[in-house]
Amino acid sequence: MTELISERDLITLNAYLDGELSTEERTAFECRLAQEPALRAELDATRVTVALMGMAERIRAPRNFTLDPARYGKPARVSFWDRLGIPTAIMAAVGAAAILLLCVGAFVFLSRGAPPGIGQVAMQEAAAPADMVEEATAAEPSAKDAEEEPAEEEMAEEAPEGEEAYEAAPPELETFDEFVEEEAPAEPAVEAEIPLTEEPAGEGAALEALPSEESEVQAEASAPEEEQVEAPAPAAPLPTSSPMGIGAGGVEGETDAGRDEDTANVVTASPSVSGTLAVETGVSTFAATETPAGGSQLPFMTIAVIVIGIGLLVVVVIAVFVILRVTRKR
Amino acid sequence: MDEAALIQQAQQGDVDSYNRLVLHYQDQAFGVAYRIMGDSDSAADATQEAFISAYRALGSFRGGSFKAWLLRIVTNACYDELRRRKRRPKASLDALYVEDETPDSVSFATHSDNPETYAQRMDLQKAILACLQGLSEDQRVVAILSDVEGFSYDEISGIVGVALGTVKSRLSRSRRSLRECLQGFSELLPVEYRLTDESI
Repeated sequence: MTELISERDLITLNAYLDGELSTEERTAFECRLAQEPALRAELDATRVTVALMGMAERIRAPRNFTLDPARYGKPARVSFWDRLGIPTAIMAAVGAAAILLLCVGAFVFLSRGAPPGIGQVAMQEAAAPADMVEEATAAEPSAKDAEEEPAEEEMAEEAPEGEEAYEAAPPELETFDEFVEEEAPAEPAVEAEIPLTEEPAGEGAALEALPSEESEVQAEASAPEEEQVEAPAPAAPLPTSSPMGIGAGGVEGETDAGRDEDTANVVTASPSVSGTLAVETGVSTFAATETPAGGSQLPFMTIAVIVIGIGLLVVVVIAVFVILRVTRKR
Repeated sequence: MDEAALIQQAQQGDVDSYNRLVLHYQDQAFGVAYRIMGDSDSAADATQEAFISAYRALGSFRGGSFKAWLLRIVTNACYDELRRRKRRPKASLDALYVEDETPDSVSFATHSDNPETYAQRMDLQKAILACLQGLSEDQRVVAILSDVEGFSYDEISGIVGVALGTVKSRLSRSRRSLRECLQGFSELLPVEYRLTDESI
């Protein structure tokens, strides 16, 4: 008889017997039971089997299985956080928040560049050659005269001048940054640069003295003087691939910061550099290095440092708390 | 018995509280182990091992049915013991001893003053034990937990650690096998429970 009953029906039959079917399934199965005698006979036989198995008696343990307190008296293995008396979920949430803070802070820190201190140092280094060249070009009628001057004297004079320039420069650069922040086009930046780039004659000779690595400058040197004066204007909006979407002047300042700093160093090494190059590099370098000190990068860096500090503080507090609780338990 | 309080105290290292839990559940734990293992010595070893393991793992108990949690450990201890037994088959004399294991070697919780009734009960227990031993290990565990211990499908699924559908299919097959096996002990069974060939 049972051969006619499928495996699926047997499973349903047993579930019916154990009361594991839903109301609909039970109703449907009872309809089938009323129509299928084989299914009904199988149900009766299974019911007898279950009843027999249910007659299995409770067995007494042959002995006690209790544990010896002397041997097992140590605390049971409770989870670490339970031992501390802190819900695991809370500790996990606090720990995750601390790690998140650290990650966010590190991301902001790394994505925004070096810390403000580094920017200030770079700015000091870069501001000196900018003013140095500016003064050199303004006071000297020709680059040849500048070349004839001893380097020691110039450097000795320029050292304090650089510091003065560093103090005096921010107002100009703040104006520049204001232009940048107001999404001003490149013209205001150019205007800010043009007065600086209006240099006396002799630029071509000075540029010829430049090292060969300054290929861009050499290209400018071959151009007429008027074009050289205007050269910084297109140079400002060119590198507009700013990841932060800052204005043109700011873009150049950030993206070309390294190159400009290098150029500024070159200018420092050879004071006879033309005014165009000197002013261009000086402005761009100044824009790049001044921005983190007093511009838009400072809040980001401050936030990054604060976030990292908070994250570290939370981690330290958790560690101290855990250490105290563990030592107290022991 | 305040089970929750005893568990909490045991989790804090109070062995006496844990021993009260052991005393409360040791008969059931040993009964399950005995029917899985088929002999009292192996069942006692598995039960002792399970109670030790349970004490050590008490910190991981997160509420719910302590009995189901404990029986899961007992079941796993039995599986471990069965695996060890397969790796190291006993000597023939030991095997003979195991085969001679009868319900008489264990004591039952219920008593009967009537010797005839007692004999019938023992015959039935012997038949049940023999038929259970004829099942595969997986089917045996499900049959014991369902038809002897009375756990629901969900509880069995949690204890054994298999899907609900697996529990259903294993139980269906085990009952089919048990029915055929018990038919061979029909003369030992009460008249009202004797299965006829027609019904099989």
